[in-house]
Amino acid sequence: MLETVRNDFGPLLSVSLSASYPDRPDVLQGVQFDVQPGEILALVGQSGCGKSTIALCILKLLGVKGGKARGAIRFQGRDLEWATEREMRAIRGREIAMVPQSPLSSLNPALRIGAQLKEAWRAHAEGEWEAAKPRILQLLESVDLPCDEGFLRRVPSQISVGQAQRVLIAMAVIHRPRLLIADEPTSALDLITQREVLDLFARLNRELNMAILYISHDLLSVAALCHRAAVLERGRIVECGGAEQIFERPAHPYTRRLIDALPRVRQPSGIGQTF
Amino acid sequence: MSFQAASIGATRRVVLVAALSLGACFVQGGELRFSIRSDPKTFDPLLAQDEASETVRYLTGGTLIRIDRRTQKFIPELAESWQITAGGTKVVFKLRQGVLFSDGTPFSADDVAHTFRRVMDPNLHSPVGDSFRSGPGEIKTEVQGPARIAVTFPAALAGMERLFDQLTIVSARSPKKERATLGPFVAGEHKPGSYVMFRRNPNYWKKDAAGRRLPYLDSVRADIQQNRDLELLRFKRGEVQLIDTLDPELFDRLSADSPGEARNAGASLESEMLWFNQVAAAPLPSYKKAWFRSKDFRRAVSSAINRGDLCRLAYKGHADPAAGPISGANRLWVNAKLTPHVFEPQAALARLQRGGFRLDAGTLRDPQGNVVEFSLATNSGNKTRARIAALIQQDLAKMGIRLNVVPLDFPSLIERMTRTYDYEACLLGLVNVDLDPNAQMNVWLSSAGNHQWNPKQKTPETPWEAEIDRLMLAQSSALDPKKRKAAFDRVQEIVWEEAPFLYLVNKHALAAVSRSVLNASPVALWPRLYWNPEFLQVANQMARTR
Amino acid sequence: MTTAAKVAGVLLLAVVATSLAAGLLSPVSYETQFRESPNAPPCRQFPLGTDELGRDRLARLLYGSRVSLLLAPAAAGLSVALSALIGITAGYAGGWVERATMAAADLFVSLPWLFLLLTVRALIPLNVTPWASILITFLLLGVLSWAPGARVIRSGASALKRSEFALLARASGCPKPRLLWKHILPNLRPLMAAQFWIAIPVFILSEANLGMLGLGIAEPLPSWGGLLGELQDPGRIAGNPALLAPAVLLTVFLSCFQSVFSKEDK
Repeated sequence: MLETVRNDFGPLLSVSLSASYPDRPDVLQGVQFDVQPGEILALVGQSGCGKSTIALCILKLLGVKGGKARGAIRFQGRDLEWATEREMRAIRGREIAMVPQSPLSSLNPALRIGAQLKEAWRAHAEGEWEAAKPRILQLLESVDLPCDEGFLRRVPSQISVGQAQRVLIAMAVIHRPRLLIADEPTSALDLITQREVLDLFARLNRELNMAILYISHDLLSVAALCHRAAVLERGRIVECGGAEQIFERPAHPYTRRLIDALPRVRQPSGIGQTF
Repeated sequence: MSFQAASIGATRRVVLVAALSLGACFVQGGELRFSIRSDPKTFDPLLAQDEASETVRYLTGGTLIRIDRRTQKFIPELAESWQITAGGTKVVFKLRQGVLFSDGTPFSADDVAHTFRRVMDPNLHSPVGDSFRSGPGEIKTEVQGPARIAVTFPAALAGMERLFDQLTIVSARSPKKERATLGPFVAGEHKPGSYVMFRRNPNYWKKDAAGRRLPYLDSVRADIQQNRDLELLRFKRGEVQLIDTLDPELFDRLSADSPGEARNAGASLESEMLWFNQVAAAPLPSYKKAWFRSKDFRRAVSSAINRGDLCRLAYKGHADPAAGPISGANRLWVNAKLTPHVFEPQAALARLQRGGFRLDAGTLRDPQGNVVEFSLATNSGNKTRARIAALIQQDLAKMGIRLNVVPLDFPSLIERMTRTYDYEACLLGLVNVDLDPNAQMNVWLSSAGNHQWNPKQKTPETPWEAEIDRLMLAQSSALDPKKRKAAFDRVQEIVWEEAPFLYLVNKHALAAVSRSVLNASPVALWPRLYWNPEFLQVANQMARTR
Repeated sequence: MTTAAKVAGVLLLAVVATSLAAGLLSPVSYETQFRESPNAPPCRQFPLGTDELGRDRLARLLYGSRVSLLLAPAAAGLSVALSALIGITAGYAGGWVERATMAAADLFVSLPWLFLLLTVRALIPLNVTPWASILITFLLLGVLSWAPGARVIRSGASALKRSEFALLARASGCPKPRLLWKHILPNLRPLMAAQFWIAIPVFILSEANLGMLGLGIAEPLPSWGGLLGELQDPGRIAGNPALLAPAVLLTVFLSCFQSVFSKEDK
């Protein structure tokens, strides 16, 4: 109840960030945006504009890549900039989860799929893995993965990229996080699989009321999936608004260039209709 | 054409061979190279104790009198002549004049007096000084002019001339102290573990028969080389020209390969021996000290060792079983009545059992029930010694004694023997430098530093060591050679009876001399090959032929 | 597995089995001295002849194999464990810990080990049994050889630490120790295995070198090192080709080793 009340008072996530790497100063320059509960917000921009840095900043993991962040991150009314590593660990994976960009290299090549799922579960759960297993298998089924023991015994090199991405999604949602950060989740996938994965995100958003920060350079998928979009150029947000508004009435010249660069499709506005 | 060229080459070779064989080819300059076993522990001639330091001393030091290693007679060096008076307690030297130290400092009687003061300084613990101690009292020197000095001993010192062969005269005045030398060479660069260089002493006083200034060689390089296989390999390659000691196996092989270069100088003065650490303060368990200090234990171990097998298997027959400290090669001083301890393991075991030891399921235990086990330290890199150790190990195993063979590098072995006394038994060969028993004073006197089994005793700890002290001092002051011989015979008998050293074998003197070295002839006495370093010549491309 | 690798595996097993069954295969002990027949040529009683003290060369070879084959893998295991501990710590900790550790490794590699081993050997109590002396030798070999392996493992650990899956594990809230244990260590296992297999022949040869220096293996215990020492002189081999037996065995062992285990790694 308390959470609901709090949610009513403000956004789920509120970000105001600057960040730099030793060799790339000013990757982010005063980037500000909010994510409302249950909302799918797209962060759009070209490669290298700092989109992935935002994901790491939110999880306070930029240090792993050697970067430094300044600014404020407010999540569920809490200032994360003061959170200790211990507190952050409790948030990562349980409150805020991430689906990374490259499915195969994000899975540990030495661990079986079952073990990787178990690790993701073990990070925030007590008790017997065997007892939790039926729920995990159910979860696999819900992300259209084979839900048998044989699949759990495979190692990453024995599954397809699409399957790997679904495993990563399953791992991310295992604890039903409030916010899912999806960092270019479809870039490594073929078109049909992309479509299926986007379907999956939409369903998760609907069924679990899970907010999604959808980071992508792929405008088509953004148009299909997202409620709102923010356009990022050289470390700044140049335009932010409803997805349809941005597509139909782009205000910023950079946004316009992005849209012009799209391949011509016959019915641009109809893409989202199936959702 | 080619035929002609070949014939010229052949002619040249014939000429060279003829010149070498007649010894007519005179060569000056060049570098002689040979190997020594370890780094010298000291460059101070008065402190030399290990073989490498003695080598340094021999090549660089000038002495008043030398023993001719071949004729075994005394020859005047820095002393032109000398006279022994006052019942053998006094010697007056007439010194050679116009002699300079290597640094140009003139040599005079003051230097001799200074040398005596220094060598007899009790704080120096000089092994050379020990050999001059004929009895209690001071040694006095009296400078009677720049070229005349008298030395008075507290008691008669028999055969004293020999002692001066080891007494290197050090300079009283030179700022270089003992680095200023009077010998044919000057110690140069020393690269520890690698080599010691010796340069020609430009001020060396000696000239050859033709009036040419000696030495002939420009330099001598003593490579530090423990591995005798490598030494032989380098000899075959011409990188070293002398090998003063060859293992029997290597000797056999070299004689097969190049018969002229393998030289057997006959029976040597060297013996291999084993001794137990009897030092009271040694860091050993007291029950072990009790074994080592028991004559019955030592004699039993001695009788358990098959010396015949040692000669046959470890030396390929190039050795004889040893009876005592003096080998048959020393005809004047050997006690011919002594025979080697007989190999009789049963009697040896019975002897131990009479002392309360018991053989229990193949393991010998002492009266307190301690397992009889001890370590035998020896230097690493000597195959013959390793074989001796393995043979002794097996001989003792049959008596139920466990022997642990421990090869150590030479410097640390010497360290244990002379400073820490942290060893139980040791297998080594000590070199007899001299034929005269007085030269062994530093071994037999219980106060001496080389009294290996229990050195530097303040007073003799056992009656038999006291008796040896008395006999050795007696023979050193007796002037009658027969009395000296009788006293030293008795010493040899006591040593045979008490077995502080277990003499194992007397080796044959096996050496190698390259054909390029002239004037080298191996002798039984140390140093076997470079006893006449000022006269040695090397025929190689570097040398100037005159 | 290829046929060659299978043959090599069988040979390898044969070498290990014969050395373990040394007592059964050889009627005499490696230390018995037949003093009446030193340097015997191969004959019915002594298939490989005897050494200069009349000891059966076959018995010494078999027992020597046991010493070398038993202890070299143990020392290799120790070495790899140390390398892994140090390498992973450095690679995972990063920063000054990593720099200091790698500087120490560089220093370690460049130290004059022969001298140090001599000194260490001289410091060991004199009355150790030959077996203890051997154990100490291999222990030293194992302990002192951590540096090269640690460098390899460090760079592996460092790369793994920066990998995508390690980042994702952290983003999933995986605690650091568990990250190390579950994600980094399993991925270093092939690297550590390679280090282990490389170290075994290296240690056998190192022991051989120490044996030639009169260190390591004390009388009367035989080892491949001591037996190979007899090969220093080519003149003697010509007289008795049986002397080559340990060299042949070592070569067979090492090449079989290579072909079997390099295949297995793939």
